[in-house]
Amino acid sequence: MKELSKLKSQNKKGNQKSKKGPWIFLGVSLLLYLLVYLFDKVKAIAVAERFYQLSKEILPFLIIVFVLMVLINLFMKVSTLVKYMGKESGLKGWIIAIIAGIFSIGAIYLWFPLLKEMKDKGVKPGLIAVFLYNRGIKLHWLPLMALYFGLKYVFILTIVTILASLIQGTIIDYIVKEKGK
Amino acid sequence: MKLNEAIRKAAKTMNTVFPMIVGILILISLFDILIPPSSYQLVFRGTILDPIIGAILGSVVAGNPVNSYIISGDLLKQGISLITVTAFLISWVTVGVIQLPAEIEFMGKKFALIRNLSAFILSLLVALLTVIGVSLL
Repeated sequence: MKELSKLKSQNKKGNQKSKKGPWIFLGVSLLLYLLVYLFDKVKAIAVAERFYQLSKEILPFLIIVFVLMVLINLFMKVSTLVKYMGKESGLKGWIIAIIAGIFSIGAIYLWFPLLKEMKDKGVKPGLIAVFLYNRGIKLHWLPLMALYFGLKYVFILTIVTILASLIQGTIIDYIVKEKGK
Repeated sequence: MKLNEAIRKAAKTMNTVFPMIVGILILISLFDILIPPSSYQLVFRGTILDPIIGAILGSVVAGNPVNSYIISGDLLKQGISLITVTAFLISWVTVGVIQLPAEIEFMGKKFALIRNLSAFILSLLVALLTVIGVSLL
């Protein structure tokens, strides 16, 4: 109970802090675009076209992430998350993080809000890092990768990536404590 | 939690995410157009520092991993070493300099910085171990 109330108070502080940041980031990005527009209009139009193309690509994933967030809010109890991916989750937690990372799709930044919610609910930071690292294994693209680099290379790279994710998870858990903001 | 409340909570988070995602997309678009992939090979010098340069390049660029396979295949053809190409491939998918502000915003400064820094160092280790593994098997 103590742990839960501590998590809630941390969330409040975090939410207060993160209101202006995203808009400042967007402002800086727009400013950079404006600079390009002033110096090279042709390139600026190409950038706008690329932006439109990327936006179209990520929209379906954004909807998936939104639905997942609603489902987590709706059905995932804090106690369940803490049991399977919290401090005491052990080997089970590592395996879940690896598999979830490998099977996750879409751009990495689309996952941040969902991962923040999970972190706020008590999921170990190390397991979030393991999840993010294993996103490097793109299961659906592995056949194409094998075509370029060979099956042996893809197999070894996949195994080494999983092992590296465990190293990173351990480092993150060691350095980033719950209050590690 | 009721459905309405669950949707409202998710929408509130998405509201914070929205400007971040638009900002990241602008930066990625700028990078893609201003620094075309064909110019990547120019940074490699054929020295021991190449894997580090590969990892730096992979950390800064962003986009679909398929692009990294195509670029890497091309780099291999140009004679760039497998260890350099692997460091580039792995850092492409595990390190994110462009999205770092978003990661800091959501996951906290300490988490984001340590995760990206360790992922950068690990990309070199993964590259080394993969190349050793390939040559041994």
